[in-house]
Amino acid sequence: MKKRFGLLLIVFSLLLAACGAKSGALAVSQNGIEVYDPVVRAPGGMMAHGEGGAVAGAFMLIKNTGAQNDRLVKAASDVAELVQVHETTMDGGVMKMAEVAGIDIPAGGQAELKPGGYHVMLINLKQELKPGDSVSITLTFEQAGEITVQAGVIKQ
Amino acid sequence: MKRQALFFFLTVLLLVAGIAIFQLTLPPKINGVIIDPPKPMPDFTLQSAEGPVNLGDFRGKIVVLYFGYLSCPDVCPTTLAALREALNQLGAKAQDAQVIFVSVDYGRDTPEKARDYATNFHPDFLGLAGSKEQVDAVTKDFGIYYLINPPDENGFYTVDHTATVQVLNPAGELIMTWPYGIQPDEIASDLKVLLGR
Repeated sequence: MKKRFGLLLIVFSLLLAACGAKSGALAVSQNGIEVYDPVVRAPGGMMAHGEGGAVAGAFMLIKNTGAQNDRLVKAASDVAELVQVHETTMDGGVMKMAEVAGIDIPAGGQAELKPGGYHVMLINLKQELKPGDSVSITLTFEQAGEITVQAGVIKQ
Repeated sequence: MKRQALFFFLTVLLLVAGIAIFQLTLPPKINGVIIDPPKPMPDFTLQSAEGPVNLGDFRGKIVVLYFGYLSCPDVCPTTLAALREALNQLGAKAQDAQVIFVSVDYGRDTPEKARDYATNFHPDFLGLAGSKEQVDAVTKDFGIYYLINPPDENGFYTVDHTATVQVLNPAGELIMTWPYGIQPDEIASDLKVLLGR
């Protein structure tokens, strides 16, 4: 009986851990900026062609716990030749994507980088990204400065 | 007492059966936008990694057509992943549907790249590319808007494009469209109706 209770406890805590990992895992907290669940969606199969041109989007939730408004103005990563901050918009069923000067994160507020909205665009990947890999991305904020996050690669 | 319990049980059973029969008589719920009457579509020829492909090659199948480009990091992958999940939900029935991804980025995307991009989502997805003339012809026929934006100082450019999914019946007629953001469950449900449950 006792044994069974112990097993139940293990299963329950595993379930709890799985849920915790899925929703809102804090990756970095630095200078009043918190980054949750940074992920890169793997493009897959594109590197075989060698001539470059493979891209991937990085997504995350950024919270500003500080008292000052902040702004994500730049992103960089060693895995790509070029990194830009992009916004996707839908206009009458037409998808448009463009580089933006920055993403505002008001004091006490947050900005979500998610499909159909903002993302960090990794352009001309230098290496194949496979699910389970980790990509280092350095974000530059106007107030908080440079913050490096490790984003896990997920299957898209 | 025993009799009362039996009576109660039968009443519940009858009620459940009644609701089930009523629901079967309702027209099936459709999540997409129905094109009524179905619109006959002209044939097109585009390039696959294995050679030219005509739309007419897929008569007898439901064709799910999506236009995008490979350097698209969120909307195209989201849609293709939703289509994959929907096909997985259909099981063996999925064989009667063909998903075709057409790249409108004729300058960058080759048929080989389009194939690798599409099959990365699902081995049965077909990735096609074409010349500017071929892309212009097929997008015009399907009412797909696309615009290749001027490159930035690094030579990178984005492409604006209609993100609506086109669905053709086995006769090659346009019967439905799915807006961007449609969920895998909704796609699978519509496909079940189209494939005749």
